[in-house]
Amino acid sequence: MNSPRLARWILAAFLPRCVREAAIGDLEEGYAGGSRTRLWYWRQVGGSILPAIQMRWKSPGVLRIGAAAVSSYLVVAALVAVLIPLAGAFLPKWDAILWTVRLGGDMLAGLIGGVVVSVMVPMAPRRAAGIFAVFLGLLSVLSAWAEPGTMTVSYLAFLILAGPGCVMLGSLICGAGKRSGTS
Amino acid sequence: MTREFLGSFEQLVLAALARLGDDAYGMSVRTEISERTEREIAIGAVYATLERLETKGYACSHSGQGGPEREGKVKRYYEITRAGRDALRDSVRQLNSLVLGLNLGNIT
Repeated sequence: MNSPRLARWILAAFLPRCVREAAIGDLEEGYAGGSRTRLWYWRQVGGSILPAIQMRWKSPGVLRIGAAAVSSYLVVAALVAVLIPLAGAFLPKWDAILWTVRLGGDMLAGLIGGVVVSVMVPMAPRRAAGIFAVFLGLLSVLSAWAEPGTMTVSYLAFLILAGPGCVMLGSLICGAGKRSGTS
Repeated sequence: MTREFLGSFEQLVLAALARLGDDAYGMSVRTEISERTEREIAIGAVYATLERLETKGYACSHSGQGGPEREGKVKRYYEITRAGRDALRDSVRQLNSLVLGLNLGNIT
């Protein structure tokens, strides 16, 4: 029997990984097809969202992601503070500030994007993060191409790699929240 | 040993685990509670409670193979621990001592 795909996807997106497969399997077991069971399935999913959010919020994985996000922000802030004078040696002062702040923004956006994409596509988190990373890299190339002549090639390469690298880091941090299914 | 208080839904889930024995997994626990309390229970609420009970040391779990009726997805079996049985017994005893002698009508 084909259970409602959208409902299953919503449930998978909200449930933490440690119970995701078991809970979806349970609902598959109870699903017999027909409009009544379809409604039952949707009601199950609707009623499970809040407990799933609470479960996720209290799980050690979320605490780890929160700690990683805060520490990453501090690392990016420190990096920006170091890079501004460093970039100033190669670029005009205001361009150096602009590009360095942009680099910090790219890295932070990449990190958050990596976590969000991994959570939203639970079936293939690494692949989704990879696609998003490539997209972010292309975006950096395009935006740099639109404003040529303001930075060195090495700085541009760093800019293009930093955002996508942070996407994959975010995805890895998200994966670190995975718990073993056995006790 | 000081135990944490059990919430009412935690009591129901622990009692269901004790009743179901080796066949206690998310859906069977949900069905057991749903049939006995005549309430519609969401599977997510059952798993959230099971996870909480596991964290408290009142339940433990292991993974089992899933059949074709669940598209091969793993089953997660739960078991009540000794600490869980003790906590449930204490909880029921406390409730009994509070309601004993009260005129609540026929509750059987």
